[in-house]
Amino acid sequence: MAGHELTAVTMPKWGMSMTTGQVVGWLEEDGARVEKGAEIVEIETEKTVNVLEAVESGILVRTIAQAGDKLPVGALLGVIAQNSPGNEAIEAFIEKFQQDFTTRDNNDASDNQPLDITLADNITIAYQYLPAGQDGDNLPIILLHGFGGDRNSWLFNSAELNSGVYALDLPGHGGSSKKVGDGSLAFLAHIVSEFMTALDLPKAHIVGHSLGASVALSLAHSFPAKVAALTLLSGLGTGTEVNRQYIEGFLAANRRKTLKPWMQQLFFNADMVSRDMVEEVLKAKRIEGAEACLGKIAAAAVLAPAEPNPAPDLAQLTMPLQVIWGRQDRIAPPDQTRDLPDGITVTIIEKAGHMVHMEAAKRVNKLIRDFSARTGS
Amino acid sequence: MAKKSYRQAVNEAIQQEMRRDSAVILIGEDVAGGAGAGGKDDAWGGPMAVTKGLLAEFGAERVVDTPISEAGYIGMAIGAAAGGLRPIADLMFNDFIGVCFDQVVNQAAKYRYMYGGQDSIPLTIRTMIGAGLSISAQHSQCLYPVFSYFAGLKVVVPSCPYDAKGLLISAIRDNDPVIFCEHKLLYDMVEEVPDSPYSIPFGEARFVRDGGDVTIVALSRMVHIALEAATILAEQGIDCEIIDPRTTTPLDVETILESVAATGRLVIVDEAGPRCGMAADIAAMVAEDGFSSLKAPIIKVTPPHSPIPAAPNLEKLYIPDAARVIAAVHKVMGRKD
Repeated sequence: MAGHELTAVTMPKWGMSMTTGQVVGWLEEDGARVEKGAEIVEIETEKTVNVLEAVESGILVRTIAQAGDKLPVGALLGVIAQNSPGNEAIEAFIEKFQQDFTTRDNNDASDNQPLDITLADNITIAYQYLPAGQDGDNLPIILLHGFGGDRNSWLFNSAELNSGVYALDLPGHGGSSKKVGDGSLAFLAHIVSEFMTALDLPKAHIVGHSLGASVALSLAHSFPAKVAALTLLSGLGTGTEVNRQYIEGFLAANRRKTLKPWMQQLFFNADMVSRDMVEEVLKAKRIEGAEACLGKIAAAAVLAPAEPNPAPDLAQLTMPLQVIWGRQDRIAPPDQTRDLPDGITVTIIEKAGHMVHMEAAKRVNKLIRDFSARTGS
Repeated sequence: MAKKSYRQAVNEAIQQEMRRDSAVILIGEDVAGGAGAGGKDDAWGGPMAVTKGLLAEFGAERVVDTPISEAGYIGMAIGAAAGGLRPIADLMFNDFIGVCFDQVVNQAAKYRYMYGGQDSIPLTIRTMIGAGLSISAQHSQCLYPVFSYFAGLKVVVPSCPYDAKGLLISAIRDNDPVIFCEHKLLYDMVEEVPDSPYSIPFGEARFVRDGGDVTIVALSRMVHIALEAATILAEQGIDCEIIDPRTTTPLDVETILESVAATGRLVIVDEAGPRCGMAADIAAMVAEDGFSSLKAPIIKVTPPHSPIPAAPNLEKLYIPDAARVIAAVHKVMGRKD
């Protein structure tokens, strides 16, 4: 363990757009014994507040960043030691880290540029791409957000998935065109398929959240060859039982004060919803045509399917499929995962609401990574 | 999404609304800018180049360049609005409102009320406010508190390009007269502004900065002075919350009270004068409805009750700066400077 005597605690990169974070406060004091995975420091990003966990067990020998400090991703927050290396060694470690840090910071600037691609009928899809690391998995992952969300809802996930990751804005959402055809899942799935073709992605592990899960399932039924594996978060397709009041309330809200209470319903911990998070959603909703598109999708794909649709026959699908849900989901109750066909792994995560991939990011990331690895390429 | 200046954001809002709705027209002095200047129509787009390109796209029928008679063309715009168009009148400097007050105050503002809600005046008056260019006392005032006095007028004071575009689109689509105040020192400010049209509702303040120690309410260009002060104060361990009301009528008092309830301290930074201004108005509302949460007297940071000097050194002293905001915050925090 000699090489790991001292471990740097650094500013995390939660999502592709995060460049800095603000230290809210330490949850452990200088000199405290911490276990790997323990929550040690609270960090606020432009979007939300989250807790950074210890990457190693040991003694928290230095808490360097102070509450209120705004620091770039990768900056040194503190130091964890395996034993008692002495002050000199710690100071030398810190000095070396700070010397190396500036150069590393500069190299990292180019990977968070938003991209877009224009498909048939002049539909532009905005997306972000994060390449796989050196020993990363070959199978790309495509992330499909939920109703009214956008690619930023994956801020705690994208960078942790060990694959080439494409997080796209569904039509009508985020920076993508405000054109949703008839608003149906078939239309949205068709666009995702076109997106894959345009980017030369023959096959991917599709990870869909809520509405995105319905789109993923529709894609798997219509274009099974393109779907190597499916991870469904908080949604099961057209048969999903959904809190209709939420959909209607979210659609109608056009101010911070009216929207925030609805957004808080998405989380087990309502404090996750920051002013900036609400502001981002409002900005997206206020773009001309966005609300009309959301209304169309809600009517066609979420609230009232044209045909009363039985829960899709998941057993028909041949690709590996896993389902992840938050126990305290107030938008789509987790009970509905009870009677799924054999062979589908269901993970219900405690203390997480509808946004399970934000509230239990670490757990969800591992489930997605492991599933990708098992599926192979 | 591209970065755009405040000037471009205003131009784009007008352009997109004129494309969307043929009833939207532009009327004012020099809006076709350069008419009469060497025969080059559209050469300038007004003194600040805000309306550049609109004449070329929409023609002289919808971009009406008028003689120097504010009384004439503001009246013309109100008449056009009464007749079914949705004019944007360009009152170059807000100081010139004096000669058209009857049309604006006694006609446009009261039209809906006096006709029992059967008709309204869908008019937007765009106008420049603010000191800082040393262009003297009749070209540098902030008269939005005066406009805000009159029931029946809506008043917008955007502090950044994103807000300027979204609020101007709302103004043009509003069925009542709106006075849209552009600060002349903000035209070069650049930030990300969506290419598509979007509208921001009136009466919703923006949280510019979250903080727990002091609430600073700042308007128009003063939002940036407050931010400058807050950055320095943060280094001293004082955490300021900055609120930009964005519209002075309707005014989002609820958000201000909510913030003061949390911080207990209020500093209001306004470039309009200290008497009968927005700072005085907001201070009175908080004193009435939020007194029990106050831990210190409210402080107004405004220019003195004086005409605006043209001499640059005196003008600089006149406009509130970060040092004055910092001193006010220190005072409400009980710190000695």
